[in-house]
Amino acid sequence: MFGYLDIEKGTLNDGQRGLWQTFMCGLCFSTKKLYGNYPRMFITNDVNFFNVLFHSVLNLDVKIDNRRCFSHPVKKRSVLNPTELTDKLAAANILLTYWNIYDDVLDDNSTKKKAALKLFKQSYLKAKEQFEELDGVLSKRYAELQSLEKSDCTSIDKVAHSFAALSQDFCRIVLADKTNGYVETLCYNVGKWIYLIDALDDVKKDIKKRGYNVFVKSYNVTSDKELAQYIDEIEFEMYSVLNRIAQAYNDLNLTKYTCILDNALYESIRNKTRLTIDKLKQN
Amino acid sequence: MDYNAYEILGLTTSATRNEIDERYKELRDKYQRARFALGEEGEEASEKLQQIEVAYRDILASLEEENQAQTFKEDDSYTAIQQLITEGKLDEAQTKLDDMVSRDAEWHYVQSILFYKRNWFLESKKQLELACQMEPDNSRYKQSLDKLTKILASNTISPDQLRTTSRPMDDGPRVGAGNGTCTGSSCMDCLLCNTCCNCMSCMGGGC
Repeated sequence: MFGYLDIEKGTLNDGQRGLWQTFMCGLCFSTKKLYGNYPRMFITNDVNFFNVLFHSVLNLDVKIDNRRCFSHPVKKRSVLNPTELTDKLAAANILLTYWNIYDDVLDDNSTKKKAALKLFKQSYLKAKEQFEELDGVLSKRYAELQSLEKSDCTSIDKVAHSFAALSQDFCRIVLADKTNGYVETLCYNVGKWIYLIDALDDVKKDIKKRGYNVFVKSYNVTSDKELAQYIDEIEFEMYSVLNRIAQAYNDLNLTKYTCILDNALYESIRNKTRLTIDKLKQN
Repeated sequence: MDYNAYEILGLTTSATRNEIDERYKELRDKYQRARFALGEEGEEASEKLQQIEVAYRDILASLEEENQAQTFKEDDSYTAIQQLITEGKLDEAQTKLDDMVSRDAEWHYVQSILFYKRNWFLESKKQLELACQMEPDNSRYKQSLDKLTKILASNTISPDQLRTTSRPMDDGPRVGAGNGTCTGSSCMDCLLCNTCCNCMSCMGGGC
């Protein structure tokens, strides 16, 4: 599910790309400090986006150091000094990854995923201890999602709600008393977009595997060609979500790190949506 | 009614409108013929005819009154539910909507606002389409559907222009968008409720 929320690297200058990378390194060093090396491989762009967003919402200044690391042993790179927030997000990343793999295991029972889950167990248990509330919410929302998917739910909004609400809860818990309606609406719709773009992108694969796909179920189709007939409705839903994201983001009136956030929310996710819809239209 | 009009027609208050009409016609025909009889029988029939005319008229008037009261009650319920939606009490509003017996166009309209507030856009559109189908001449429903499909889901409006509040000036307080009567949270409703201004500007920038 993760990996869709990213920046459009081609349209950023070197400094801006570097800033994104610096935030990523901060998350990576927090992960190393708290959970060791193995989980560092699982840091996603999605969580890094929230890393930048939450630093911006909390109006936090960051300190940057030049450091070498395991994957860049020669040249020093600028690294964000781990903050309380990057520590929290490192824990959140472990929990999100764990529940995401767990969900995949329930879906397709793959041995590779099962092995990854086993390797992850120790870090998960530690993160769970640190972030009990978030773990509870994730387990509840993923169970909701599983049960809706198992019951072959045909309402796109209803199924996507579980994942969207998960993203909103994640925001509320991490920001605690600094949360507000705009950022929660933003996170709800970002979560919804992640779920929907993943489903839309996987239509062909899910039909082949006979796995659950909310678009396939909702329109009761047997091929991506057939689904293309419903492109207007799909476009309506996707752009409504994208526009609510932009609306809530603009309402926040953020001032820090906005070059990255503008890029992700005005360009990257819109381009990805356009490409995925165009791919479907070609059918 | 001070007397029991239903009793005069030989009915109980649970009688349906059809039953009332049929019984009235039946009795009217009977006494219309009988009133030409000679002597007391004719007089009695004439009196009876007058009684059933009055009873029938009174029953219809009371039914109309009940009907209006019901409509007012429903209008009141919709206003109360919309109030709950504005306050963000969405689950409570949904329970009240589910409890309502009627599923008229207004019901679907209010349900569409509720779904919109939940960020359930497809469901919101479906409900609005139902409202429009049931009352094709209702311009409120039509305009809302237009705004939902042409503005909220627009892929041509530049994303940096979309907002529900104005940009803060010198860190001053946020003010409402549009004509200044809507605040950030209620502005979302105005897309559907048309309660304020030309909300094109809330959705499409310019605030």
